[in-house]
Amino acid sequence: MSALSQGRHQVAESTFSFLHMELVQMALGPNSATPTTSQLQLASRKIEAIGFQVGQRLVERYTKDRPRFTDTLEIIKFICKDFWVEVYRKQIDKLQTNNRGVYMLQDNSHPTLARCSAPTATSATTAKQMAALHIKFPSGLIRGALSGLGVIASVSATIESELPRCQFTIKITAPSAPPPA
Amino acid sequence: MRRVGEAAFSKVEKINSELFSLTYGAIVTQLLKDYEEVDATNTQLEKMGYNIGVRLIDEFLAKAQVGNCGNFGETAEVIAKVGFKMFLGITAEVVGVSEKEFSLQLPENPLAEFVELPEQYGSLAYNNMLCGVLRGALEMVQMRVECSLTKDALWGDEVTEIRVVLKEMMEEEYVDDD
Repeated sequence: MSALSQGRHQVAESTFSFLHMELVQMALGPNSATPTTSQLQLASRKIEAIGFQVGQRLVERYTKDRPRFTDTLEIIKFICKDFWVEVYRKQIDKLQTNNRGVYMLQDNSHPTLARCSAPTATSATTAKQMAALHIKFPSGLIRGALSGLGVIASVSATIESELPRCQFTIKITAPSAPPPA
Repeated sequence: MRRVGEAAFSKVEKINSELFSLTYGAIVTQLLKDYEEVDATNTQLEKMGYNIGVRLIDEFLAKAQVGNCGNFGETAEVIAKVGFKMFLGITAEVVGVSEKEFSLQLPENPLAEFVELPEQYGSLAYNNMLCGVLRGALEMVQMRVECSLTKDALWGDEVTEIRVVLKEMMEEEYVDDD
């Protein structure tokens, strides 16, 4: 069997970055040099939806050989560690929770944002808007991965003042049902 | 040439190809939804590839450490053994080389790893982005080419094959800064 069919194959990270840039452009559509608010909203929904699909399928592949998770916290920890390492080659830097279904995941140097230009005085709004679009993909990945593991949640992403730091907030709406006895 | 490709691939940051192929698949699906027909999707995939090619060539020239190509056949070898290796981790076979054209055959293809084409999308050129990447990248090094997907494993062919035809060597234009 080839490395490809065994799922051990690798491609250059830059290849994925190029594809991701085109994904953002595709979502914005043509004539997107100065996108309107509605264009931005539609684009962020599309990007998030694509992230969701990918996250759902990836998590299925990454968890097929491991024992079933026992609770939601274990699932969140899996996303912060194993899942994030598989996808971005690093772990989430900080995990906080209010113990009532809200989890905050902080990534101090998120790879997707590492190549975005920092907002300058003249382009502050656009650069921020673009960064907000780029972060929709990982945010969708998380929601998709959770859904693949039976946890229904909403995920929002915020960009901290200094790129490439960002934070994902997970709000659990329906925790994974306990396995049938 | 093969060794140059392996050296280049060993130097770049790598990711698991599943993330890449699943994302590509989701993009193709979204395009089919947005454009509602196969031909327009094929065209759009090629355009997106072109945009990528135009940017990707910089990284290639910076990291691959290859010299000038003496002829079009050499260009083919560099693309097949260094370009494909460096970005996709695979090598292509060059066939049918002449002064003005060549074909690249891909025995494996990370783009289409989990894909089967449903019947109504039989004519979808799923891998058309590759054609665009080649066109964009070559245009940046003064070669105007036309690329087409002549065979595709997804269409039931044994290999995936891209034909590259040289249309014109473009003149380099120098513009004064001031």
